[in-house]
Amino acid sequence: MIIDAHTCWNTYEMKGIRISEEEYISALDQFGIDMAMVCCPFYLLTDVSLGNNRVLKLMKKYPSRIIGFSTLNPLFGKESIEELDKCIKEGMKGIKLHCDLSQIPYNDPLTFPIVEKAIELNIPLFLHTGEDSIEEAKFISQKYPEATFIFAHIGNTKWKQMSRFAKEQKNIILCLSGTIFEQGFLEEAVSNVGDERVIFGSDFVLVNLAINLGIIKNSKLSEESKKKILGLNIKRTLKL
Amino acid sequence: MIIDSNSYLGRWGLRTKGITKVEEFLKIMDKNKIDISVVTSTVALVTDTKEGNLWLIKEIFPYLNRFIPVACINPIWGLKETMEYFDKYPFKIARISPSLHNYSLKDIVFLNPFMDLFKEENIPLYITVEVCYNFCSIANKMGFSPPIYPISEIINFAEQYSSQKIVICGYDTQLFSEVNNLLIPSFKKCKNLFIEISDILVAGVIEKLVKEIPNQILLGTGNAINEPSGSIYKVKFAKITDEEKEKILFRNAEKVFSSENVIKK
Repeated sequence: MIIDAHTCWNTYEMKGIRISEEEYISALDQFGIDMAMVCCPFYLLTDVSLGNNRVLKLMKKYPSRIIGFSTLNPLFGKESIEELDKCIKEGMKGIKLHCDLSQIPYNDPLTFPIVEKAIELNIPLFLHTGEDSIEEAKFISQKYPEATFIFAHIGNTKWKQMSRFAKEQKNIILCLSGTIFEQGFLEEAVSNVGDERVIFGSDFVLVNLAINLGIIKNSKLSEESKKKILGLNIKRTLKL
Repeated sequence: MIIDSNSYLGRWGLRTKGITKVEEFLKIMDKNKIDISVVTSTVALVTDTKEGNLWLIKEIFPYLNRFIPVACINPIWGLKETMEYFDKYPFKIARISPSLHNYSLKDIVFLNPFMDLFKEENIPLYITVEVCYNFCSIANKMGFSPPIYPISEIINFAEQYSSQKIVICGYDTQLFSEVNNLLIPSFKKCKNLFIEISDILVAGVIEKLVKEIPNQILLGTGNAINEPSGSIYKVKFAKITDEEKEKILFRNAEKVFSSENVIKK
């Protein structure tokens, strides 16, 4: 079973990417992906509720294929918690935060109620972690050891630093999505945190699905480890 | 009478909840004695042009006597989609945002069919330089967008399409030298160029512009991302004559929009 743990299904106006529901599902089919986590982070610039509704619509149309994550804007306080309640009630499985798009750092107290709600609901938090946000991501994972954090992009070019940190910080799962693509990075991440805390994510529709899929399939890891990374780990985390 | 030549309906995730309900928006207009607002959807501007444009029209449709709706255009989606905004829906203004959509106004061949359409249909064109002071700068830091669009390229563009009414949106300058050496001479040369003042912050710039190009300045507030009274007071307290204030508050806008059959009396 292959589960892509990180896709974003919003329009990217500046890149000219606009993909219909059918095209999105067809891309999953093309690469043999059984299920995909979907969020709409670009709506953080305007109205996350519209983005979440878009994901809910896709979930309802393809319930066996789509795992919705609720994108939240910490700026909106109590309303963000209400938005999360709505999304979870409708079947979403986790939270997506993106500090660059929301411009709210993970160590800002505005983020704390969202993390506390995730702990209460026992759902993971999926954090965009680029180069500029690794320190704040480290902070929040240490402040809330009982929460489960999925670090997307693993700090990008600072992935070595991030994966070493995750070795000791057991509540972190490393998601390969993004633009690391360095030779050996997957094997090193696995050697740091083990094969149960690394998951496949593509960052489709922004990034070609084939890239990280190919990197995992052609890695030197055992077939058993590949299976875990390609789907079993996220399946266990999300209790699917 | 006040015509607000630049306002936004919808949420704005970086700063404020914004306003999504048109009735709420109208209350703010009434409080500030704004009769007509040129309105853009925030979602159309930065998240999804089509979704935002169609949502905007649906929202404001019962109140078209109070709004001049703006269709955000991303040329990458093609001419057909753009034509639909003006054929099927009551959009009156086209707005392009080269920095947000990653292209240059130097790409004349690419833009020519759109400019032909705007000319043929008498559609005024808005060009985004910046959005509410800092959005393009922030987006640029995130790696999502080039920085603020250069004013010099808009001026060159306006010279090439001299019969097209063009409104520069979100311009600010910290440099009087730029106002003196580039903006004013260019506006004097290009009578088809207009500027709305929602993002002009530096004291004295409005007075300077009024002195030199009094017929090409429009009130814009950035409502409801910005508090509109700020921009209105920039005009009301400016050291200019009452006649000049009236030009900024509505008379210039009437000329820009009425002549294009945009404002229906």
